[in-house]
Amino acid sequence: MTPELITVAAWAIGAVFAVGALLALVRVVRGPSIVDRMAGSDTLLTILICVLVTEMAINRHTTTLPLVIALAMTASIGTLSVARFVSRGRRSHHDER
Amino acid sequence: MSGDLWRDALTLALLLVGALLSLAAGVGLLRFDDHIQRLHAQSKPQSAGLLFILIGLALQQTGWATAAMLLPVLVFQFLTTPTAAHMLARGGYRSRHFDDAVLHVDELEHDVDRAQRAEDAEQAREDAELAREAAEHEALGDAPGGAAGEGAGSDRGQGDGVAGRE
Repeated sequence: MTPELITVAAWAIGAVFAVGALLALVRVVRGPSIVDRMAGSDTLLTILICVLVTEMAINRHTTTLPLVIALAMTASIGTLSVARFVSRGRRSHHDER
Repeated sequence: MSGDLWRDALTLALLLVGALLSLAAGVGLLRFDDHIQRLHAQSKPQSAGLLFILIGLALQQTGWATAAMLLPVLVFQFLTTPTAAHMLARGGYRSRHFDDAVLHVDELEHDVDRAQRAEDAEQAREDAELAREAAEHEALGDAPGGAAGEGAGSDRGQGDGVAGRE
């Protein structure tokens, strides 16, 4: 493939990613409840991982691979803790102490 | 890019599919009405999109070692994404962040109600037990002699416990 075609394809892929991330950000800002915001921010983080991997594939390097692995390992911790916090709505023994 | 025509074309196609899945997640997050539907749209790029993009990156790598480094990314994402989505759905259900008018059958509601009733009953039993113990200690506190001081001391302790529970 010619370099020009690859550049055009890379810009197109980047634009699609940017629109997806923007829509997720709109949901984070608008989201009526905390769980909606967490779903949006989780999506935003996944799109970030995808963008890092895409950039590695297009430029043919593996510099950001450790960052991607660390992100994949820790991405859900925030979501899990917020979900755990929200789930504690019911009356339980631990809440009253 | 490697310069190999078919490999580059396949990589770009896979990357584009992953990007489109991310876009679909964004559109689904914005357009769907309630939290459970949004979760459905949200988990698509997290597994499938990342899988396509990682295959695209692996095609560009020449050595097996660097390609094998991509496997942990996929494994961790496949492990944590369903867990996070499940916990978010659970939190959304418990805090009533969904539209139950469109649900024909809600089997979870029955179970959650039953668990709540069991928990309430246990709480009531414990409260009754504590109240009975407090009453016993009070009766002991009326007795004359050395038992009075001891009884009053433990009575105060129990009283604090009961007040803390209420």
